[in-house]
Amino acid sequence: MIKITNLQKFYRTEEVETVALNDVNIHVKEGEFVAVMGPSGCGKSTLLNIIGLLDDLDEGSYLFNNIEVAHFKENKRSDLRKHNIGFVFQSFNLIDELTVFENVELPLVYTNVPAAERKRRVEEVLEKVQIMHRRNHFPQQLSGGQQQRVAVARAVVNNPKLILADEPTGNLDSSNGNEVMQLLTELNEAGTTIVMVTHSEHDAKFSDRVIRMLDGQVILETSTVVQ
Amino acid sequence: MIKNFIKSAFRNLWKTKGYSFLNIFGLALGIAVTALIFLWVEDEVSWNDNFVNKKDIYITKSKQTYDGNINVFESTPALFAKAIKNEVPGILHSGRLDWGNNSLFTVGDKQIYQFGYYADPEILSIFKPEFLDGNAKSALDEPTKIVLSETAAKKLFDTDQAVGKTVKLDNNEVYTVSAVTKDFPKNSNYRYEWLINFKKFEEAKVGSGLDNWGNNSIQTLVQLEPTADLATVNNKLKFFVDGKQGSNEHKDENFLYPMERWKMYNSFKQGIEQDGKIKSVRLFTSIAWLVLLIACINFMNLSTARSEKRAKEVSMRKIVGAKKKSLILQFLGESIVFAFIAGLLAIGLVQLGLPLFNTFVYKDLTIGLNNWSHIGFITAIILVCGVVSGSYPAFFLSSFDPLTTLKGGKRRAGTSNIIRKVLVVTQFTAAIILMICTSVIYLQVQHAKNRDLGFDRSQVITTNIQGDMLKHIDVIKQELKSTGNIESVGLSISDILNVGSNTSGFEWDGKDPKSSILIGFTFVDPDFTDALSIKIKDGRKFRPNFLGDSTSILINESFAKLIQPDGLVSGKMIKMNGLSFTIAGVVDNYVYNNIYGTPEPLMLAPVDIGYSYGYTGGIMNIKTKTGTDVQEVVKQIEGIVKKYNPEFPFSYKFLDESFNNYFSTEIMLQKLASLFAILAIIISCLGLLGLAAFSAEQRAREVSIRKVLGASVLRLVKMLNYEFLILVGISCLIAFPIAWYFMNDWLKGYSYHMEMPWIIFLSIAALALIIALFTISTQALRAATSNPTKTLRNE
Repeated sequence: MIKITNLQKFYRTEEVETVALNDVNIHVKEGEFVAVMGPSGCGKSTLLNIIGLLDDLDEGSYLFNNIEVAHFKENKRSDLRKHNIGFVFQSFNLIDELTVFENVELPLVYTNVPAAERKRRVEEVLEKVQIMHRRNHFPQQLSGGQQQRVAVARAVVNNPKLILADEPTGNLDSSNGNEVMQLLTELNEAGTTIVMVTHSEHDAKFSDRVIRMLDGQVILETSTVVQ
Repeated sequence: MIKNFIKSAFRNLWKTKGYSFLNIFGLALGIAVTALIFLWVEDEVSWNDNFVNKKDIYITKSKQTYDGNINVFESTPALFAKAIKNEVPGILHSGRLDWGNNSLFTVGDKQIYQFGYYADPEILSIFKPEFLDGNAKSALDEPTKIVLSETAAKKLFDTDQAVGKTVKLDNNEVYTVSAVTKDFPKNSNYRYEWLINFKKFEEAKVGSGLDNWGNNSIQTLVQLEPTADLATVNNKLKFFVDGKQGSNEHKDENFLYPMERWKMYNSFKQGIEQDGKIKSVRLFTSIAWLVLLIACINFMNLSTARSEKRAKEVSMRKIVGAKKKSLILQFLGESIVFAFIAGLLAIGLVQLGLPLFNTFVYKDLTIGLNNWSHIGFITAIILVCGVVSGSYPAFFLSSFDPLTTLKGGKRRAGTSNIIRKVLVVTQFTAAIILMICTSVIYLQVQHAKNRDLGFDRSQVITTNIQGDMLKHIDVIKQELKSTGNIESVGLSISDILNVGSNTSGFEWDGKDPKSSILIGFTFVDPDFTDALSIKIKDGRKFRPNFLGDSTSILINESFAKLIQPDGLVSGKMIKMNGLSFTIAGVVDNYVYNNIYGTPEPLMLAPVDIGYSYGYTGGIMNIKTKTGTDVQEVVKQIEGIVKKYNPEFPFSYKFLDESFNNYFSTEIMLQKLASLFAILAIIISCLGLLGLAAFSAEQRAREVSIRKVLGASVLRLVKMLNYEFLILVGISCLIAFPIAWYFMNDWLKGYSYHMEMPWIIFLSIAALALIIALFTISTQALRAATSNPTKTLRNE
């Protein structure tokens, strides 16, 4: 599904050029659950943003479903993103002015899904993440765990092929964190490809494979699946 | 999607109630001011729209050259109307009118003064009023008939069905009502309450030369055939009067002046048409757009200032698939929703403000919510405001990079900050320009009011001479003086500020026979100069009872200097239209006709000569003694006047007030400009308040750290105020030359004007800085006195 070859990413200021990602090669198959780990500043979030088409790469190739997307313009990226990729963030990033239902509904609004269909799908996904009873609440009225469940619901409502999760349990206690990881595992089992950036060895165990990074490079890839 | 946008818009509005209020209220004020000005403009540009044949109606003007000066007059000979209709092709109707009269109407016990004209029956074909009773054909076919306006009929007879009823005019003749017509609106010329056949006017003026082609004394209206060519008709009219007089001198050049230009232009300099009211229309239209721009800028400023708060929303929308276009539409939609709310609020503000505004502009403006042009206009303004004020925030907000925002990084504030500052500077520049204009107009009006007029207008009461007053004038004057409260009583045919008659028929020794100089003249009694405290520069005033002065005259200094450069001409003889007069004295140049101008040459002749020439009525100028109780004196005057003229109700004016009325246009301009300046400042301050609050919020962390490190409250307030005060300072520097340019040009329009008062510029700068300082200090102080640990803990 994802094939990244010889990826280079630099951050430039007027005087200094910092290499964020250096000659990264990654291959993620459809249906895989991959965790990316490494110390702060090693480039794992940058990698995730490039995979999610939120950021550009400077050199190299990025094939998404065998299509070269490295140099897509913003409109095409946006189209590809909204139909194929769901995002889950550490800080949830729900829109404070919208209710739980409306937050989850948002991706469907931008893909022009009819209202009745939207309602059905939002309710279905809210049931799945067990937050249906809070559908009319605003984000600030929810606990962190509940907010992250809403964020997951928003990420999957459009049935994306890929979910990118950036430290999804980083702001949660262990019990809420486990719930979210359970949710991601269920989604993966249902066929969704997941790439997750994490610091937590515990969370990484939920994945099939761990990619370890240091100073912008992939230094190790290990399988967590018991043979 | 739209539902989602609207929900989001309203929740945002509610979440930031304070800012939303500043935003919407500022915009509402702007829209309200614009709406008020456009109501005024609509009223001005639709002047005379009540005349169904407006585009074909003209007044006849006459261009006359005296001593190289080309003057344009509206008076024509009484013989003109009929002759041109017979001899000039293309004229459908032509009719005569006098200049209007306030006459006393008596019906039973009712006595009311009503304004109206003596008019040819054909005037009704030109005016085409709506008849409520009676008809056009028979309305003025006999001299004893009178046409009344609906209001006049209702006042006199309590009904508009008054045909056949009778009314007595000026306690003299009885007229029968032949028709009642709908009132002309306020924005119309010739708003008559009555019309009487012009023949009556001619009867009263027998012997006054109305049958003479050289007597230009009445107005002639013309309606052309729709197919007639104006240039061709004007060509025929050009020397029509000269031709009738058998003269080839071509002194008098007639032309038709279209009704469509009466209100907006109708001002001539050396015979060339100048901009008239159109200047005020343009000025106020510009002010309207300026105020609206200020309000829109506020909106942009506050929206972009709040943008950080919405960055996360924008970023998430982008991540889940929103394109830039849909975000732009969302924010434009939001600002249109805001503008719509502001529009509704503005309609309320207009309704509230209209009564006050009407007193400023001397109009009866109303906003018609069933008037499609008004609704359309408000809707257009709302859309323009929504789009203009929403466009920048929309592009600004939609360009947020989601990645940077969600990482928690602040946007680089550079560009948006500069734009915001430019907007604040633009806003304050406009407000300061308006403040300077207001002050200059005010000072110029005061300057003109305080000029030495050459006569003393204080403590002078004027009353019209009517009915039997003239018969008993000597005894009335005597009794008035014997009250002990009155210093002097002087008569004049015209009021001192208005001299309507002039002639070029003066001759004197040494005058260049080729020069033709127009000289004003009026008629006064021997006490006139005392009553108005007019100084004698040379010679003497008239002797009591004109003893030995039946052919003496007084002239003003301008006239005297024409005769002899030193102006010492008393005792000399001059001729007027063949009659010889002796100059008894030279009076100080006193101001008349043009309050701002240099007094033109003037002759004051004995009042008896005036009456013998067919002039009637006149004015009694009563100078009261200092320290008298004015109300008591008025009562005494009324008692004496009514004793000798019981048939007429007593009315009076204070000369001071009549004088002030001459400044009504300037005072209106000044009142409006101050209103707009105040509103512009309020709107600008609303914006500044929002920005200062935002800035204080943005810098809360910095302020807290500085405070922890020992900064005093005063120091912090100074720091927070500094950046805004610099902006106001820059606004002053930009506003000064612009305001100077416009106001210097405006002052030049008045021949008697003050020098540009530089102190005003400095005062306004100080005022603007103080207002701005006060506005932002409230926010700065709040930020500087907040608990730093709270802010830092939140961080």
